[in-house]
Amino acid sequence: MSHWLLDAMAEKRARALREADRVQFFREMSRELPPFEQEVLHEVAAALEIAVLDLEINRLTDDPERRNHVRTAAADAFRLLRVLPLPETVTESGKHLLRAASLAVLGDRGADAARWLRALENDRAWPALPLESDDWGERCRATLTDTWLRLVRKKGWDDRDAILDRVAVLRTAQRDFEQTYLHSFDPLTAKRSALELIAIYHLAKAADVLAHFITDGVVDGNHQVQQVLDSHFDRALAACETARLVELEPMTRLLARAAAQMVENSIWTVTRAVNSRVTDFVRELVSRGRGDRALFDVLPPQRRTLAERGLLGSSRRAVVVSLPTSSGKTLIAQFRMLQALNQFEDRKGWVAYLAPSRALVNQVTRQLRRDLGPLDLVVERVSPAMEVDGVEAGVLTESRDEARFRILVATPEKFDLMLRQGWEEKIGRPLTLVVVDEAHTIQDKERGLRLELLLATINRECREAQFLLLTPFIQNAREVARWLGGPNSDDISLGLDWQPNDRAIGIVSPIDAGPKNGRSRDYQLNFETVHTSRHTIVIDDAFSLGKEEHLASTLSKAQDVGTLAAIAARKLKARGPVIAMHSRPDFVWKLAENLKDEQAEAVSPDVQFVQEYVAAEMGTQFPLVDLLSHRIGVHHGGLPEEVRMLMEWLFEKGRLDVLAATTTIAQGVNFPVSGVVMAATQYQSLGYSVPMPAEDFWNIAGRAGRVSQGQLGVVALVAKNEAEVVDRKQFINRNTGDLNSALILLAQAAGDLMSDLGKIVYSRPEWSSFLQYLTHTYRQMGQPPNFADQIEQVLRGTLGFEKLRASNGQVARQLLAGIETYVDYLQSPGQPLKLVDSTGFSLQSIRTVLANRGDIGPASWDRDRLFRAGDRTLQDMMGVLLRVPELRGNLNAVLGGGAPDGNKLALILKDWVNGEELTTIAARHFADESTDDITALTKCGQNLFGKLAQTSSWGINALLAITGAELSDAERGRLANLPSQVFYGVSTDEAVTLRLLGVPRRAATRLAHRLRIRTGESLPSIRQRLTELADRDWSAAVGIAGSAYRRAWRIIDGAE
Amino acid sequence: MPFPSQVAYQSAHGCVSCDGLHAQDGDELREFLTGPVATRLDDTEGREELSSHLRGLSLTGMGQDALAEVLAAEVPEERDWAAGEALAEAVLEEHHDIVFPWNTERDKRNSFASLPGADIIGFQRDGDSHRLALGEVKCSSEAQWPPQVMSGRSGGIGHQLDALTTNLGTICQLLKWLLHRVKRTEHEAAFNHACTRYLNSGHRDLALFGILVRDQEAREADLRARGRALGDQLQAPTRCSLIAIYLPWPISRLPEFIRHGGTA
Repeated sequence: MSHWLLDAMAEKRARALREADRVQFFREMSRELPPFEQEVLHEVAAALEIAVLDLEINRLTDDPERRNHVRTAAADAFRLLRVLPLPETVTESGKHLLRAASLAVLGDRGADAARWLRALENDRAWPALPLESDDWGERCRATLTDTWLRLVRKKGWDDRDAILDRVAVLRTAQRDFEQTYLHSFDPLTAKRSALELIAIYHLAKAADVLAHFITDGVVDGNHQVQQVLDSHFDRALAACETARLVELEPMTRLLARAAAQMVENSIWTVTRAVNSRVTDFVRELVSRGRGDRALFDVLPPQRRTLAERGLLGSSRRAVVVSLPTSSGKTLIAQFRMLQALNQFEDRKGWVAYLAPSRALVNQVTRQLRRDLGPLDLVVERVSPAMEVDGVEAGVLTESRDEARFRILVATPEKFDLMLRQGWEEKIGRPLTLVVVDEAHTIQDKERGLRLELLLATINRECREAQFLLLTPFIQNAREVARWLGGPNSDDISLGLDWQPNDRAIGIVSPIDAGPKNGRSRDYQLNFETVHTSRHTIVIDDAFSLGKEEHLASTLSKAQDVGTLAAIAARKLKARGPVIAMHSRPDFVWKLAENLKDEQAEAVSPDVQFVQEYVAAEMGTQFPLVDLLSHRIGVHHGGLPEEVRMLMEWLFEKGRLDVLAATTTIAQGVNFPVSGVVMAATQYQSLGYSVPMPAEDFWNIAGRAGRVSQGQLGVVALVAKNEAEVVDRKQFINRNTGDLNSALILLAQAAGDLMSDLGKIVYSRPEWSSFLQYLTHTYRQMGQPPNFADQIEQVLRGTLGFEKLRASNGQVARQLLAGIETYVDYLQSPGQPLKLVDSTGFSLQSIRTVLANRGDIGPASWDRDRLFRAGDRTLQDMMGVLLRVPELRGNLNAVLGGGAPDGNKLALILKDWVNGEELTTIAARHFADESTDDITALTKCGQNLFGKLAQTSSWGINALLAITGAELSDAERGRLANLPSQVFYGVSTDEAVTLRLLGVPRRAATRLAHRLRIRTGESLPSIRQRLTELADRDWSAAVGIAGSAYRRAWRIIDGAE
Repeated sequence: MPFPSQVAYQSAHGCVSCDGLHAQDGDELREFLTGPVATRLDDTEGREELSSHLRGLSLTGMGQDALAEVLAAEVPEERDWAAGEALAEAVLEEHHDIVFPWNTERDKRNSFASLPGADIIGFQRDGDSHRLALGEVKCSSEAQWPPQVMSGRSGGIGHQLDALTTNLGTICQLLKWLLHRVKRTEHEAAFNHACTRYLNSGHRDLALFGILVRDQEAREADLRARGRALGDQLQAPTRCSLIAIYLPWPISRLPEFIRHGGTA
């Protein structure tokens, strides 16, 4: 369909929108507003509004194209009206805002309009409408404008209460003012005014009805609120038509349409008639403290997913929801989870929520507990440590109804291990839904295959399991959904037509500004916006960011990405919090130092407490302590996890101006920022760098904006010269395309190596999860002699194999041939197949351990002796683990590329487990003549938290399974927490428990002692007792920083 | 049916034309007035049933007493202005190819007919297309040339026409309002053309009419100064016509002529 006016105005519309973008950009980026063509904006806005009014929507028919025309025309009209200056009179201002806000709602930009209106109030630009006027007509018109603006703004419950209040006041004041007002006119004008009042009264009532509905989901016992609204709008229109109210009639039509859209957007509408648990949840979201966090509306992608695509009504077994970042996928998942739990309520079914990193597991757990806790749903998480320790086993097998978990949050690796160790059976209740967050990690070269095979395994073995995959936008969501659900699947994809807010993405580079003195040249920084595949703002001219004399006095000094990033971040931070990224921790430290102002500011109590905490953990001289005084935070893998979490917390609370971080933060950011500055576009890992995936870039770019008053998110990539400018542009314009299986890439890269899959792990350890999958499935099928014949069928369960066969038959045949040989090997007698599932190692790795175990046997597993100084057992163990392909890479990285040295690793681990301070471990093991304290601490952190603790804990668990088979059950029980000790860096079972609850390592051991934890005491009970501890209890455990530690724990636990 | 008239004077200033028309007294004029002009006036004026709008008001929680009283009140007839506008519309329809989107009983010039912004709203045929036509109508018996209504600061025809060329907001408001009047009627296509041309031309593609109804001697001075001033100000594609209609009898008798052909 085309539209007469939209077609005719297309060119002018594009010009006006470009102009509006330019105005918005300048308005947000600089104080001076450039002169601009207001007339064109007015004309096009009017034309778009006419088109919107012309394109009436018949609610009973489905006309997506027409809806789309309306949506884009209304959204564009809003963009134009938003940048136009407000009219001079208060009344006209109010009308202008109401027009713009109504169009925003129709254009699915209601959230932007709400922010805009809130910002106006903060800037004291909210029109002072004559709500108390003695002129009744004026007062009624003011009330009408005010109430409907508040319906769009929805500032918590206050706006809702104000609406009800204003309408009530209108009713009581009518008697005092109306008659005098009407009698002030000649009889004919009086009639017209009376009709206008009648129309306004109906519109005020409609506002009242809508306000009630938004919070209660029902009005006077009626859930069909649209019909109630329709009747008031119809009567208002009839009055307008008779009296020929040229202004009020079109406004009423617009309000009627916007009101219908608001009803559709209401969280009550999209979740109506699902089940009582969902209704309880909605009530909880809406009432949430009657504060600003109350949720009344869903975002357009949520509406389309939940209501229009019927996610909650469907019985699809596998659904892929592929939406842009910031579309609110978590809420969608929460509703789906409630539905699945309800479905299996009689059998107390449970949901697994898989998140790709430890940080995300923590974040998700906190959020789910906060949101679903009030519904008495127990949410638990398991640590990413590759074993199920004693405490976790207790949590998983809890039998009391009120304490049993219903949602379990885990990393895919951990969950894979759990399932293969038979935990679904041990839990004794059905797994009903698997939610996979960031499901696009399926194509990650290192970890993707394991996730894919995990899903294939669940699909095969867990009878009741349904799937919900959440991804950023991908092209082939349907294909992925079909892989898991066959015909009983669905994909809900929303491409690039909705963005949470406006963004400008561009490149900052230094420009020659002529001779300076001597031979040096002056410079200034230009920000040049870049066209992207998503609707980002583009302005024709470069925008000058000026210069910073003290950071770079000349052009040549400015030609350094770190310096450029520092200058850009300093310029952008005036608009709101900025994340500045660089590739490596040492670069990040330098960047952070360059961000400092000469004078530190007075810091808030929040910052002070974090400073105290960091000083206690890392030493008072640790540079982060001083940086925090300048409102600068630092975030990288060399910092303890708790410190990173506190940085995120401070940043989210608006206590930091800039967070200097490594690029890897792009994967984990789930809070809004105002600006993003990127000095690098690479990830640095294990000594080499890889380009940041397009999904991660769009994840962080998608977070830009939406902070407090700013509307515009700015993403600036710095480039020191022309070549880098070109490079950065290419980086920005890489497309996110199909989601592909990592298996395809692995197979293509392996080539002839696939002929001997037995050996392949030695050179390509990433094949391990595939081989384990074969082994596990073989065992699971009862080790059938004709397994080789069934292998193709098994492989069909994966996402990759079918695609590989279609795209590259030759490689697929090679793979099949390799598998057949491998199956022969699997079937040879005496293979320790069971150990594959309990260790997470491939068969070859187990054989390697067995061949090199030396003296390691049941007698080696003495918990007290293992970490004692002078004992060699741990050294021997680490020596063996250094040979295991799955672990080797990480362990060698800790050694800095030197010779495999089990002794060194053992010494570090002993210090770690025995509670040495980080500063001591750093000085002892990571410092040499050429490194300073900070470098050593950073290196220590990167290696210890990022690699050694996790890898050795896994390794020791596997080693125990392989060499400790003859241990008695009692002995095994005593050793259950051993791998967790290594993981968490503590020496007692009680401390492990507290670590699992988020208590920082330095406090865990002594606090556990003080708490006198009983054996078998449940985790919720311990958490309860922890929350009751006072500052003095914590001080007794960690000294003067006790209160800082207590607060840190509360934040980590999600209480603050 | 043509408007029986003779040209009294004619001139042009840029895109502005000025025409003085002597209405020719006689049967033809009577027929014109009782025919095309009279059909534009609604005889039921003042007796409309407005109280139906009170129905449903109780659901809003608002009281109705004062409203009911006002809506039921008798309105003394004041028809001079409406008569002038009806005459102007009929003349424009005949002589300037204008169509008016008022084709139902409801849309006749009833008591609420006058719209803010412009006295006359229609579409002028232009080949296969239409342009927006807006006009202001003034009646004056003043023995002065030009009469004050041509030049008064606010409310004068000059000022009003000026406002129509500069005040985008008012006209857009009218267009939004008109949209639903013309939707699914014979005028829809004309509206679409006119609306598009107006909005796509920097709001210049429209025809403006200033109509002066007189019962004095026809003198070019009635329009000349205003015509020149507008001629300096307006640019193509805007078109502007100033038309003075000289009646052979007092303007005050116009309603009577329209209703009864002047025989009452």
